[in-house]
Amino acid sequence: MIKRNTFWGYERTDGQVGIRNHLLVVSTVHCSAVVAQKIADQAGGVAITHQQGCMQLGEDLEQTKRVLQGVVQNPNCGAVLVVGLGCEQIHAKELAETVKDKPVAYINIHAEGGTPKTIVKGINIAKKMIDTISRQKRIQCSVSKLILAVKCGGSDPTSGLAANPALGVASDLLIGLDGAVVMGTESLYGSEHILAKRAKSPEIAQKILHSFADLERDSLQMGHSFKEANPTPGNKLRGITTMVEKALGAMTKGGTAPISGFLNAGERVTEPGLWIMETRGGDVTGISVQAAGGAQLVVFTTGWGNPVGLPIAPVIKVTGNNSTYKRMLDNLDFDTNDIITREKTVQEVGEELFNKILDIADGELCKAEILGHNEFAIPRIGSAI
Amino acid sequence: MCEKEYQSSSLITGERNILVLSPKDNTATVVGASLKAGDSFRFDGLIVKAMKNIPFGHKVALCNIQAGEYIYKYGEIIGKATETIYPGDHVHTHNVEDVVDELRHQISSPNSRSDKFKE
Repeated sequence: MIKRNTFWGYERTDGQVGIRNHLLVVSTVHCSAVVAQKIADQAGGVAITHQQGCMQLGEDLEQTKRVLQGVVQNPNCGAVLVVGLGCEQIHAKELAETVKDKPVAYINIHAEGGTPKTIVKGINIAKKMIDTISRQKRIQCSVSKLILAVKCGGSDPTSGLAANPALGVASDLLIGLDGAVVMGTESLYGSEHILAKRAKSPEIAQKILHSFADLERDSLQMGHSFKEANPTPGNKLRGITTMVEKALGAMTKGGTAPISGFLNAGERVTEPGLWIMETRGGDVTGISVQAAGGAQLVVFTTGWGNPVGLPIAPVIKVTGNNSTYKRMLDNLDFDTNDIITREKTVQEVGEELFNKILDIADGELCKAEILGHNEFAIPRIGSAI
Repeated sequence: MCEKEYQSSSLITGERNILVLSPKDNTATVVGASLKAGDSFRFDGLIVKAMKNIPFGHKVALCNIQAGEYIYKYGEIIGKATETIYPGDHVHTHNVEDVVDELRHQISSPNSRSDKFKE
């Protein structure tokens, strides 16, 4: 198989490369979410809405800011319209000012005088932006510009046997071409004894171990052990017995590279190589913060079949379970079952998956995009105030 | 680990309806059709007979595993037997406990921020 090392992307002035060219209409706070959504729907943009942005403290507030800044700075974003209310903690003007290299504007519902006026003004701004960015052409770019988020959810034993190992081959191929891969912690509880040994430095190893120790501490403070929730009932029904077994199956999706760094949720990937990001919570928060870290696309492995996508990045669905693939063909992009039947090797299927990733990078739509799956969520730290 | 070190030349060995991922493993994963009680499969010269119905994706024991001994899959420890497990047994939550704390404590004290990391 011919291994490609280029793809067609949208070059940004800061050197990053997008694989999509979206106008993002971003709400700063839950209160402006509906207005942002209506502007995006009318003007051909994609809305980034969420439930945060006010009544937050300390690290929790910083995390929300970091994730929103990460999203608007993601290279798949060609232009940004920030929609605020006017009295919230996340200021529309400040968020807009973090965008340096592309068309950007902000509006506030208070200043415009209510919902209808804000929507009309927003549509007028947005349609000009869409017109501008639609003229940009794709150019041939090095795959070293790609940051791939790898994720698993709704896992069953085929995830660990086929889908994740095949994705691991693709991860290694990308890293071998100086690209980057970011893998979330949420599926890795129970493999830290192995991951820590793969860290490039003792400091990175300590961060990995502390992340899992902090999770244990926080769940105990709630009067529970996180082992109560993991493996999930669905994992156990399909034959995953322990958290360690689940994690060992999950960790293979990142490949075999040394671990270049540990990131907080939404922190930017800055160099090639394999990165671990703290991604507590469910599947949607996980892929959202990985995209905020700069990932232009996500490969999401699933044994049971999972439909979620992102407004800002393709989420490619890969399964190792052939009956799931047939049943949920509307949602699933790639089947690795040939590994289980031993008709192909992990390496062969992984190389095919790598080419599929580059086809999607070139502009081919994945199923989640075709079906309009545009979930997005920002995780919380601590309790609400 | 089984006393006998199985030879494997590739990641995946075993018969078509079971997968053994590493020569260190004392379990195999059922793939293709589920195993029915009484079904037997040949593995590395031995005949293993399923003692219960074992669904697709679940694990079957390849050898005797005493209570307290480790369960291996992927060539790694994934749990510990809570009772004696016989060849052909279903290996799952009813006879296996997690070892996440034990494995973590092998390399680090989770309550300490001091540098206890060792290669």
